[in-house]
Amino acid sequence: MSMTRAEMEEHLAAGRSIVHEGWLINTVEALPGEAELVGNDPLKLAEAQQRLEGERDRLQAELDALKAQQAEQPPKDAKPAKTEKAKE
Amino acid sequence: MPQGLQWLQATRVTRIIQALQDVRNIPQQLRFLNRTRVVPAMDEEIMGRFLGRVLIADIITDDARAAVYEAGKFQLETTNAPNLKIGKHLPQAWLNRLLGLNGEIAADEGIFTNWLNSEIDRLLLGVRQRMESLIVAMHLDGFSYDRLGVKMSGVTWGMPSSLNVVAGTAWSNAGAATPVTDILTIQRNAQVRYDRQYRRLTMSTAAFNLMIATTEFQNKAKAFLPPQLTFTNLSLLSLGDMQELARSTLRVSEIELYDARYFYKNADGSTASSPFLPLGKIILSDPATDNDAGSTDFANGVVTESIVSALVGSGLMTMGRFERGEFGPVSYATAPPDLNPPNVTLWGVARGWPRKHDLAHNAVLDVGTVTDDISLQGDLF
Repeated sequence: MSMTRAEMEEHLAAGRSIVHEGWLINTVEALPGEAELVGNDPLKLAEAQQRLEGERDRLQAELDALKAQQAEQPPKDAKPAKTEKAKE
Repeated sequence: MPQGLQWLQATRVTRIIQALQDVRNIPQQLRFLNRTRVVPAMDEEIMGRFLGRVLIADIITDDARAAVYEAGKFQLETTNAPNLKIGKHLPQAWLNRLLGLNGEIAADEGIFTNWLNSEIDRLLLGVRQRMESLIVAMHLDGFSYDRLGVKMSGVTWGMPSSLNVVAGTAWSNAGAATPVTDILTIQRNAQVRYDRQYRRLTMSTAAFNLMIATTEFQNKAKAFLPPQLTFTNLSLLSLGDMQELARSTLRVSEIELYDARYFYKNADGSTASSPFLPLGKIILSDPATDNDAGSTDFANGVVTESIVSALVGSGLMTMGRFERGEFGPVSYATAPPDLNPPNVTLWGVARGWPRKHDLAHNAVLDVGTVTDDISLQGDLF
């Protein structure tokens, strides 16, 4: 999981730096806001897009595999065909 | 065969072999100790560090006075080395068994024959393991210890904050983590600010597995695969292949996987273990600084036991009597002077502390919580 801003501030107070989205952050002022993702830097936007596309491809492949698996199995709630009682 | 030991002859014990056990239970190579110079040092030895900056000269016209600026300053630090000591008690029953078996069983891998040297080797290895853990703590710039009445908390060696880095996104988040960017950012920062090239990464296998499972790594590593292959054609379990790929992707000369562990006894007598390098920490270093005493060293002092032994002479020690003060690690044996009861205690001891002279010697990256997917086999006894 990504760290929250509060966790990042703790690490900075302990004398450590944060590496986030290609930035090395030493001061509290340089920390990204809670809602900020990658800002307007075109390089970082492209990197984020690459990453998300790769994740999308991976999830798509998993979904296809699951669908194929599902298609091979018979439906679970299939009931045997009803037979009418012979009328006397 | 001595009285009471004939049962061994009857059962025809002709060979002692080592039982199957997790290799991580066996002491492993101490990498950081092997690449750190152990330097003789005296107590309270003072090291000086000059903090100053070269200033560019001003342009001064004729008959004008030049500006004068303050000189740098000296930072002094002293080291008070603690003792690193461990003992092993050999009670009477154990001594009788060992002496009785000495030489009776062939091919015992030295477990019974040559037992004294084996026990001393183990004690000295225990001392060297503590030296290793201290040197790793120096590389991580953090050490805490709370055991047997000794408390140390938050010990640091002055690493700059820009080299002591935490990953903003933990590597356990395979979709969002950016391990390649994290490492390259630290390397770039170190090169620009401190003119250091960290060409070696040291990490646990568990952290390495997290890294190669991330989407970012697999995207970036594609550039080093033949065009017809993708990551689905590779086995992530093939550590050797993955290390080769990671070396190219991260532009480092070496990625070493360090999983060695040390063992210790808890107060309740149970045995526990801990890795020398925490699973979630990665050390970035330069192989060119290995064994460079100007970069880091282990200050090794004279063990007080050798001084006392030299003062009081014979009588107290049964083995390893010292004529004068000796630098550690050393070993010796003691026994009750009245031999009542007759038993022997073997000791291994050193006195020292690691020192970092070059504060930019290495960087460290904390990648978040990492768990080992291969569990350690439990105690055999």
